[in-house]
Amino acid sequence: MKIKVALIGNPNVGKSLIFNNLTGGRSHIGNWPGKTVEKKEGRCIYNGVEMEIIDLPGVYSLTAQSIDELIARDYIIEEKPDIVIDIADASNLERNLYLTLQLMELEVKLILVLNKMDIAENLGYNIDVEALSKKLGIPIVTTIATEGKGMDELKKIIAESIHREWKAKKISYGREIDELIFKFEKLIAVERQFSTKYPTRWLAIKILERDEDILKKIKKSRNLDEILKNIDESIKVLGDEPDVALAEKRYEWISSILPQVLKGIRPVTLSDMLDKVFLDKHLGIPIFLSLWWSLFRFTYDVSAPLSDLIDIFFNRLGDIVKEYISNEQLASFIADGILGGIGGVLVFLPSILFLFFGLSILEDSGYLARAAFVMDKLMYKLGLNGRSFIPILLGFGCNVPAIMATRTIKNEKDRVLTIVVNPLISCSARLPVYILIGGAVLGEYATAGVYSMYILGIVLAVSMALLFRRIIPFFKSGRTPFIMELPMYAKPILKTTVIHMWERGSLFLRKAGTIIFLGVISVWFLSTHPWGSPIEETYIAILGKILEPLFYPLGFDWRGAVALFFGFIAKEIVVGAFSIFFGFGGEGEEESLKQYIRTHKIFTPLTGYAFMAFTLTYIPCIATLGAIYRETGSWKWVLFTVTYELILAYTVAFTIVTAGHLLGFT
Amino acid sequence: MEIKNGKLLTIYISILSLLYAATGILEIISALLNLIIGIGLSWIPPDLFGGFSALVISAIFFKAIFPWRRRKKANPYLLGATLMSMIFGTLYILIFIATGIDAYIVNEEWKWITDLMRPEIWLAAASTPLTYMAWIKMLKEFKGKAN
Amino acid sequence: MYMYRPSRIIPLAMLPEGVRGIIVKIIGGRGLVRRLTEMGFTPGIEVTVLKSSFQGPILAMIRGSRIVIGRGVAMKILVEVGG
Repeated sequence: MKIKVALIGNPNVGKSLIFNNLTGGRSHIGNWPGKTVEKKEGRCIYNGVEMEIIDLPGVYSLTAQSIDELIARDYIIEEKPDIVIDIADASNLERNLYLTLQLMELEVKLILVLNKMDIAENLGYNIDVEALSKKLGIPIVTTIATEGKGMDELKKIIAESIHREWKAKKISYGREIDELIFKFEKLIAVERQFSTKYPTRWLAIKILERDEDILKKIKKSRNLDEILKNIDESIKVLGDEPDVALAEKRYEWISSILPQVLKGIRPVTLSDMLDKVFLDKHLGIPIFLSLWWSLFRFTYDVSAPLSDLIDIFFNRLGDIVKEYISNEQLASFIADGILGGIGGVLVFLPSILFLFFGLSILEDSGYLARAAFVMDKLMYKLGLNGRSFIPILLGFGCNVPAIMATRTIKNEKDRVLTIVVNPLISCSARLPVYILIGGAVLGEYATAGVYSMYILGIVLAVSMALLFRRIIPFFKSGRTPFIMELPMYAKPILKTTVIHMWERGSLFLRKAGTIIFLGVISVWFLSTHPWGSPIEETYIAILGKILEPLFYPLGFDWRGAVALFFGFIAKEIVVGAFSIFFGFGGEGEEESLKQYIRTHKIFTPLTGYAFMAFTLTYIPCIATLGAIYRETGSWKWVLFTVTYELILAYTVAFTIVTAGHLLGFT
Repeated sequence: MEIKNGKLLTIYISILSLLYAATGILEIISALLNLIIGIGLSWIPPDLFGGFSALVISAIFFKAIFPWRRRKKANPYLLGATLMSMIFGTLYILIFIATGIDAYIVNEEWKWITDLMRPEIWLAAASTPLTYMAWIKMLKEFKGKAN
Repeated sequence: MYMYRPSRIIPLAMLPEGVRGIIVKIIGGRGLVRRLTEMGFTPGIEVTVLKSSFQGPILAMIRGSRIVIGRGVAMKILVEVGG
């Protein structure tokens, strides 16, 4: 016996924690069919009853106005799960019951979970669970998910639900509206195509609300004319905004039962106090910058030993392979190709795990939402949303986790805009290029040159965001009003944080891993074949010679061109490519490589600086492109990013060279 | 905080604020020197953003000197300042440990005294009694749970 | 000291920090009004401004939850104060 259980609830009610508690943290993450919204599924067995648990997106309501709401609603009405668990925050009952009422109207087998009972109690709230259960007509389970309390009761009531039937109470909207609902219900109930599929009263309410999705569905109705006539009539009663009128009625109903089930007045809380500090008019932004910086150091400095360990491990393994496999071609394939490829990916893993560990703490503690509040004023002027700020800062480390972090931005257009400008933020992989080229040709201005790249990156990202907002229709109308709930501050739970970290880490391994791996293998192949020929005669050199004319106006020769081509896999490879071309083995001999570039005039100070700027701006690396594809769910944005960045890079580098010539540099 | 201890407490908070300010300014100067002439102040880590963060903590402590609704409620700025102080103290200790392990892994010399002399570690230690006082009082006020 | 202050209707964005008001009306497009209504912003309900500054978003407490609303949105929520 297997039962399908759907979890639903407002954001920040502890839904994912309950999901983890029920499934033991093991879940399958995929996407909803055709959507970029994440779908999480898990399994739970209780008393021999197998439950398949589906985590629906966190929503405040079930209208069809956002993808999240539509997914949740469609899943419940189309897939018809056996049980729907509505998770509500007991410390914020009034607002949470709004969704509960909408679920009750869907006439599903509904169980209400009152989570965060401890917090409600600390706030001095006293909830009469039995009375509430009677008022709603559905079973209620109280839980404290952070301590795992109430989970067995929840599992038990789900398992037993197969033998039980219950019906949620029907909410009265007042005589006038109830009569209208009844009228529509009668018109629909006679048609089997609707009455067998959907709850008729719910359908009637949605028609009355003039829900776009439902109005489309009833186009096939035989009674369409009469329905439309009745809708016109209903405007006399409900005005121009029937959905708003009904929403108000629902809140009225909640307000009417609340005094009977809930006692206590909200006191000043720790959250109120902490908000005084973290949302301080003057200190809010500085505090945010400091905390972000601590996250940055945590991500890259504290994870460094692990990254080095992985690096060394794969290098040693490569050495061993080269020593014991006599077939040179096979040895090179395994050591430089496969091991180099996997190692190159795994080196990023500790940083990514640490980043999401820290990010998860910031989010679970309730701070991340505050950061968006604090930064909104500034980001608004830059054409972005408050929540776009975090991914931009994370980009200085690596654009891949930065793009993954855009998930915290709810508005799709803002999110895509943040994603496509993110590669312009100079990640740590570009630093070796700056150091090599800057050190070789800029002399005493090398440090200033490197710093100027970081500033150039920010300036370009901001200008592009402003530009795209203006000229691209997709982003133009994208500015939705900023409305966001701030959760209460909470102590992060280690288990949740670790699970979150691992989910992200394994996604990175699985998907970006395959992309980079294939990329590195092909680079290895191109630079070693035809086997045994000097570097000038390999496929990669042939490619370089083809590309050379393109870069001639910028002053780069075929080696510069092909190094940039390599850098598309990962920007560090630009340095590696130069060392292969000039016959220097490892990265340890950078000093002599710098001298070589200087004395052989591979770059002049001017073309060298242009090369740095080009490296900063041109195509994102493969892993970043993979992340863009994953997060936007479309190749269109990948192509868009590549195209605009190539044009921008060429423009910037050409401007530098031309301006330099005019100023008298060579 | 108790009223009779008010004066002592104010002095304690003021000293922490001053020390954090000094640390921040020195770290920024050290970073700028390092950028321009290639060498920073000895014993002061050249750290632009780290110095900035120390200045921020100093400013929160400064705001905590003037209690919010004295006597009635816990002081929110004191809660914030001590929290930040602890976060940064922990961070630098973690970095200290990581640097040590990393030095061992890549077989380099570990200048552990320099790493341990990060002023924020010692300032966090110095503010621990205050952290304890502020948060215990707060927890009592809110009946024992953070929410 | 008692001072007579007649009640007046102003946008939520103009409400100073720590002051309470009663929502009178939300003006704006259907989508915006619906979204705000669903978050609990309905006429007759008390709203307290927790954070507000000259520019930028405001933080309001309504029905026991903290909601951040952009300045533009806050200009469209009319509240009654004083009286």
